[in-house]
Amino acid sequence: MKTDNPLETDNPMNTERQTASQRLADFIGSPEYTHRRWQIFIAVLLVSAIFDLFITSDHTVFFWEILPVWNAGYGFISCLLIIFVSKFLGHTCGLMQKEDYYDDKDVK
Amino acid sequence: MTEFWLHPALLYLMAAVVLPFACGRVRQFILVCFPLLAVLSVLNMVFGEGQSGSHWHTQVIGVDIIFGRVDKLSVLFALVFSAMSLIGSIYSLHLKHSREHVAAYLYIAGAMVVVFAGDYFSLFVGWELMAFASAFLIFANNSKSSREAGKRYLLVHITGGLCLLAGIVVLYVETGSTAFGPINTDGPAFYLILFGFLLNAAVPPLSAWLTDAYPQATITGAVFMSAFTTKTAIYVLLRSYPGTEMLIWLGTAMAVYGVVYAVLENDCRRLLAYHIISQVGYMVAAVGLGSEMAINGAGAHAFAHILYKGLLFMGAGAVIYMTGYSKLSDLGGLYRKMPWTLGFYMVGAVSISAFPLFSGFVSKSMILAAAHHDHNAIIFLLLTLASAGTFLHTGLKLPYYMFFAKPKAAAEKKQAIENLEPPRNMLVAMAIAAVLCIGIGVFPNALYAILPFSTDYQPYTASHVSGSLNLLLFTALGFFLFLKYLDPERTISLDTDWLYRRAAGFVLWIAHHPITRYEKLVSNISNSVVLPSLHNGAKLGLWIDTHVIDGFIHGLAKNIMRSAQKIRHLETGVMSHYALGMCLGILLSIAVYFALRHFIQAPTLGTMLLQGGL
Repeated sequence: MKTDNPLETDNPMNTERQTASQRLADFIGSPEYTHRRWQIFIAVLLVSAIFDLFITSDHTVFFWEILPVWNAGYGFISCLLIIFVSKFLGHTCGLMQKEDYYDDKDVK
Repeated sequence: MTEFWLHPALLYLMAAVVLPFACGRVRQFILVCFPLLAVLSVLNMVFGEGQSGSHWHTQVIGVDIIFGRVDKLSVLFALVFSAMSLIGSIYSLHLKHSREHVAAYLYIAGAMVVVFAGDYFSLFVGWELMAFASAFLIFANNSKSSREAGKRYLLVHITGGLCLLAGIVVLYVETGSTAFGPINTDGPAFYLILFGFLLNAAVPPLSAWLTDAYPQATITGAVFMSAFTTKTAIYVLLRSYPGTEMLIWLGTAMAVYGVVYAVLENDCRRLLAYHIISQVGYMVAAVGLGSEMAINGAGAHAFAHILYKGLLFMGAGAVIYMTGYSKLSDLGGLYRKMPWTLGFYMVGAVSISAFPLFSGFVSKSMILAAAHHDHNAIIFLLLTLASAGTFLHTGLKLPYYMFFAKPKAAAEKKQAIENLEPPRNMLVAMAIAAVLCIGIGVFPNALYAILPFSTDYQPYTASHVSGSLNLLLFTALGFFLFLKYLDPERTISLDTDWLYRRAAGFVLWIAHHPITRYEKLVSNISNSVVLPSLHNGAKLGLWIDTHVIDGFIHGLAKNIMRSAQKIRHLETGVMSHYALGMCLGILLSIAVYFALRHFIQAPTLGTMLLQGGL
């Protein structure tokens, strides 16, 4: 589904795969299964989101709880907010500094 | 209380005394045996009859000291503390020296003293023992940076401890009682004690000591440290400040603050330390909410948190122990070499992320349910956002860069080694913690049964399970889509420790330059003008003293002596002389009277009496 796939990991170790554990390790790590991993991941996302459509909330307090797939959307937006707000604070507001920040400017 | 009651702290103190003299198998036996005894003794308090109540009373200068207050809340924390001490001990069985174990056991003993304290003074004793003993877990790492971090850690905790002590003394003066319970005064004692507690709970801006110190501790030391300091702080907050509204907001800010900093972090243990702050934020918010559900949630989450956070620190520690690298920018590609470590780490990661069937799901959701029940929309949304952030870092970013990402040049030489699994004792400890994390997730009622209040809370409803899964899965989607923005960067993040690491330098500069100059000026003026004039003044005073005052006094004394000599001669001892003297005196008096009467015409009281008499 993507070319520069983020699930991509290290180079495949082209060893013989005999045991189940090695096959499992290959499946979760090696790039040759990247496409398959994405397929499974998308399928899980779809099943989870569709399943959520049929669930009625037990005890609604907030208005958003009646919105369909609210949790999925909120999770995704939270993720983006956390990544970009933090990086903004780190880069633009100067929270991130060089590793020797506290070493090189000791008070004499 | 007729039942025999043993303070678990005593077991740890005994072990700490014996350990330096033991070696080899004997030491390993002690390391397993004593924490196991502690677990059993606490289990006896959970299930034993007549164990709850108050034990080990004494009085010191009229103040009641209670070392053994046993109730559901103290037993809940003691149980997880003893369990974590056993897991941590097994994790550190391979160590060649006993110094870390001794420090860790003193530290746990301090935590146990706090948990069973019935008054603030015995609490303070445990509090300080914890601070000092845990500092040695940092010093034990024996590097320049760890020594410096340890010193900072100690200084911060001494400050907190002194505030706490001041608060306790003021409380005693104000109320006359030091019983450890809700603080019913609005005076300075309330805020001083709260400051001490919030510092240990790592509430921003008092939190930087945690992320500064924990990554500098030894690998096994950090496992112990992640469990006790912040959670004893939650315990004491639950006792003293339930329902304090300020804590709801502080806790929520903490939960978000932790996940924001975790994005920026490169060191794996510092990232986990930021997530301690985030998770403790949930508990602080729950203390602030103060309802029965929230108190239960705080207790349950502390219980679950100690186990999964211990597991995460053990996993990260195993990676550091085997590879020698702690920065995500140096690690990668370990999934084949450390599959068991990866597996156990992931159990901890999905537990902290609150996946269904894992411990965080059944504990964190109680706190969220309490916020939901309170109709507190902002708190609820922010805490949910922090949940997504927790999974993003602990469950995705950290394992991805540690185990799956392309190995970095620094770690490449380790890639030649086929198997990098840590020693077996480390794996066993991780396995125990992992089993407990899953156990709590699958059988939540076992945990709910030992909470302070009875509850019929049901975490596994269709909407809750589905909602949580959706939240987490779509967080994962966001992670994989924007992965390149999360690549670790070789930086450190500025936190409030900047104030005492850099701003303190500015204060020192002020002390070195303007203040020193001012001091020099003052001392010059003093030396050239003030001191000589003072010296001369003193000399003059001395001269006046010796010549004028002494002369006057001496003269007076001499004259008195001379008069006395003369008066002595009047005393002849002859009766007729005295009678003559008396007669002369009477005549003289009458003469004086008439003389006065002659000169003062106005009638006086004397004359009126005289006239009346005559």
